[in-house]
Amino acid sequence: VNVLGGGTVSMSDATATVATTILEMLVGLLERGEIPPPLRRGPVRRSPTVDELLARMFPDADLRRTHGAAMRADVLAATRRLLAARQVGRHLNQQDVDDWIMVTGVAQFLFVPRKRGAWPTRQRALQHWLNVVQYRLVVAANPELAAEVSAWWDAQ
Amino acid sequence: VAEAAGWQVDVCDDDVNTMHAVAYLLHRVCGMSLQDALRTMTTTHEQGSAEIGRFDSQDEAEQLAARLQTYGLHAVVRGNR
Repeated sequence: VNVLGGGTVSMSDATATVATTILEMLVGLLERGEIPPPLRRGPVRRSPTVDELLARMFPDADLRRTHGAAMRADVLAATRRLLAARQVGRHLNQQDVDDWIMVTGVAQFLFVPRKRGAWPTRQRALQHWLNVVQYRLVVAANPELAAEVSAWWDAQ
Repeated sequence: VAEAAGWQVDVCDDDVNTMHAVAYLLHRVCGMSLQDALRTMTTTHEQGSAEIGRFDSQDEAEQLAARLQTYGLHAVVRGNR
């Protein structure tokens, strides 16, 4: 994904394929309770359950109970908008940017838990890919803020 | 010393979200100034969590925490009654 100043997003075919695949995994989980294929494991190591994946995404049990349906619906709606609108070289409006940042933020938890552990390499790579997409969106959407954060990080 | 009454929303550190994303969302979703967002992001990173709002209404606090969770942040509500 290459986000240029002004919020135009262009994707290579390969990148668009990865993005579409991940968005469809998110829809599958949120809408149909499907475990994403990269997480399905054999008899030795079990796959995470749907509830475990939802608890990664929405980590507060009380909020999941009271607001879980609304939270899942918001993420699902954003994901569906992106899937419906995806095209190469499209100009992003603020709604598109918000949707992408929401979906990349939540989709990370398809692949890794919040706390670093023995993250499988392939799943870590997918999470990192989402991190990079989200970072580039932040830079495009608010370059001043991104520069301040980078300067802060460089000073550490 | 009595704790302040109300419902506090905190954002918690994790190993997944980037500092850029956290600062952006504090600015965009919580309406913080750029400098406040940066300061809150720094506190979260260094101390494990930071207060981002305090509300009289539990529902208002939960709405904000839930909104942030839809963007992948770990926001929690703490009640002091």
